[in-house]
Amino acid sequence: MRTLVVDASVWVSAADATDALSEVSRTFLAGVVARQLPMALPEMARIEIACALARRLRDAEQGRSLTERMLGSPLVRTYSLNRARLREAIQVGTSSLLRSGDALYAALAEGLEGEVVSWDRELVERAGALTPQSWIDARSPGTSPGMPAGSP
Amino acid sequence: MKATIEVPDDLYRQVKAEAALQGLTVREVTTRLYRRWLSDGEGGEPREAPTAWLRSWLDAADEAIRSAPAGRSAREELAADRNRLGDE
Repeated sequence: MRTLVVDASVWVSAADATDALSEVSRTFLAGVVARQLPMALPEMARIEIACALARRLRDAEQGRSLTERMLGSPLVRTYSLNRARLREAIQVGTSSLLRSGDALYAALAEGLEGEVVSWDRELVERAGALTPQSWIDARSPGTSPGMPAGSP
Repeated sequence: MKATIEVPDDLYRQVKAEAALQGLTVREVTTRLYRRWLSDGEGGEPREAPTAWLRSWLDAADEAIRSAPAGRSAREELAADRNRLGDE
């Protein structure tokens, strides 16, 4: 059972029904929940998610509240940035020419022997992340291959 | 004292990898978990079942979005946040 390191882009897309990729993000999360797969994210993702939701909603309290509810899942676990993980992120980030935030996701996935799932194009192209669509497609034989990442 | 227990291979590999990342030994992690379990009684507050959690979280999000102003989606806000320096 591989841990899925789910990028903030997937969480906020699922939360925002007006997002063009929301339905796919929700289908992905439903598939993960149905299979009871563990999901992980670096602590920093809490800030990314809370701020993106607050900016979208123009409501700080709702942004924070929705983020905390998201973290209430028994399948979701966050990982703090300790020294060992920082070293790993520097190693992975520099080797794959990642942005700093992306390096935290990639390093966490490597440390947990898991996979990153993201809508972020750079994470897909440089860190081998799956998009939610490609994750769904891989579990639905006979369907078309995954759509490209939705974010630059 | 020493104790021998059987643990699923996959689970043990994940624990060992995570312990190494945190600079801990598996023995230290195991001891912490035993202590936490004892102090929490049955293992702490029961958390919401995964399917119920997803439904309630999405319902809360839908409710919040209904009263949100039009504009960039939350994912677009995040992408803009990540790419802000590139826009200058």
